[in-house]
Amino acid sequence: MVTESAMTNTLVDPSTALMLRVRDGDAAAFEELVALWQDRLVTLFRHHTGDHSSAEDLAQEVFLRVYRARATYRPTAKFTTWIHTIANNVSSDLRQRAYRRKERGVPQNVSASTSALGLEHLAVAASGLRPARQADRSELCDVVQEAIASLSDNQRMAVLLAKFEQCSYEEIAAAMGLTVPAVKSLLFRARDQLRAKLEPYEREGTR
Amino acid sequence: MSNPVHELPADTPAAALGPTWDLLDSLPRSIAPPSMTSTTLEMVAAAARPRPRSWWRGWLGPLAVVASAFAVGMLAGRATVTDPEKAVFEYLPVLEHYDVLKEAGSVEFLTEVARRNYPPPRRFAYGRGGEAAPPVHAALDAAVATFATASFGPAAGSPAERRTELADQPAEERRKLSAAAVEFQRLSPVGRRDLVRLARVFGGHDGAGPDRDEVLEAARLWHQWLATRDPADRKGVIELDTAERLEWLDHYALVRPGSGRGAYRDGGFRGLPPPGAPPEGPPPGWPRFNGRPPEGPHRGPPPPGEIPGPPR
Repeated sequence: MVTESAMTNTLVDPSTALMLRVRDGDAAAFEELVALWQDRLVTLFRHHTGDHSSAEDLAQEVFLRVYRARATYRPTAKFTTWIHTIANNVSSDLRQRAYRRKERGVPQNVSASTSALGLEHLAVAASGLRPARQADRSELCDVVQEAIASLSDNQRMAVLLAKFEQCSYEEIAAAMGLTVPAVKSLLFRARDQLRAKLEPYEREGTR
Repeated sequence: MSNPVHELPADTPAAALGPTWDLLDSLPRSIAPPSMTSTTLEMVAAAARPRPRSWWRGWLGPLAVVASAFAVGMLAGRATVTDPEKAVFEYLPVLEHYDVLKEAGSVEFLTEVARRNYPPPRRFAYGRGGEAAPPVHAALDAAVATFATASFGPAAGSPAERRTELADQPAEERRKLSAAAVEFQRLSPVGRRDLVRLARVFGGHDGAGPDRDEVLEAARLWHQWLATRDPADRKGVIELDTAERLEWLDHYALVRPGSGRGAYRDGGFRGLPPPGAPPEGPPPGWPRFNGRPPEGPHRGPPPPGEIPGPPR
């Protein structure tokens, strides 16, 4: 039986409608779904991992999992929440693989995480050599990217889901398997941490 | 102390992040390469396609079966084949008197011998006709004395104790025990069980079993009957099973049908004829021997004149 919320999701959310067609074996719908979501997922993973090529791989992994789980999809929740949950799981798996490699002593690529000293140095250099207003967008992007990389994985994912996917507290909590207060706490601490890193830019009065 | 989460004035994540929120706008939106859609679809199609089985996967099933069968065989072998040394330790009294027990056969056989009430043989030993068979079986008596105080099986004592006991035996005795252990191991499980049970009955450990004295008496009787045979034939008789042994005893120990004289097949007599029975003698029409030369015409050699000469 189709519930009211499921019907609403299907009518309002185009992704949900596409996913229902995918579930019924429509290959063209899956192609549309990929085209609709690939930029969003690559953006999410690029800022989460700091690496564009890895972001593409992770996005493809998400689509593969979506395809494999198509038969179990039920439109009781928004498709965005469902795919964000899968994206968070893929991210967690990546983290665990990296942890296991570290446990085994396998050298891994230097991630986007940068030491606080390097970040401060970059921020000071960027703000010292040029006025903040004159700092070009590229430099600001690097500084913010470094600040984002300094967050914990959960904080980073919560911030990215909020910023780039316009998710509410409830949607972030559903995607990450957390409670709403826990998400609020994550964002609160992320704000403090980002503020500490980006204070020079904030002090200059951005925009 | 206040909870910082509840101090957040924001109802949305954007408000919660404050001024930092705007700085995050500097992060670029990524554009996936144009080929990504097609590569993603190819990857998903490849993942959804059933993979051809590797050649070695076809061997996995049979190999697993063979390995399982091998393991089961090993376990079964270990479970059924007993260690000879363990048998020596656990059934030392049985092995010490293995020949006596082997000759006696089984409790079932001796019980049937007692039930059929076979008479003892008149002649004792082969080649010693006429000598009464004494109801003495020294080897059996020694075995019974041993079994009366012995214990069998795993409760027979620690291996160390048994090993010490064996080490104290003379070399010749150890060799005999070893040979008996080998023969004991060659018996079927039923055969081994029969011998152990017989030893228990002889030793008086089987209270619920048949009457011990009756079984012992039957064993002595069986030994006497065996003694009437040529030693070369006894081994073959001992190897007979219960039914064949009883058939053998029926053949040699029972009264010949129709004789009415109590005669045994071994030539002996059961005893005096019952009162009122006709006197024993030759069949009607046969001359009766009274200790004197027979009467009638001389049947000795011919007179000298009647001896024919050599042929001319």
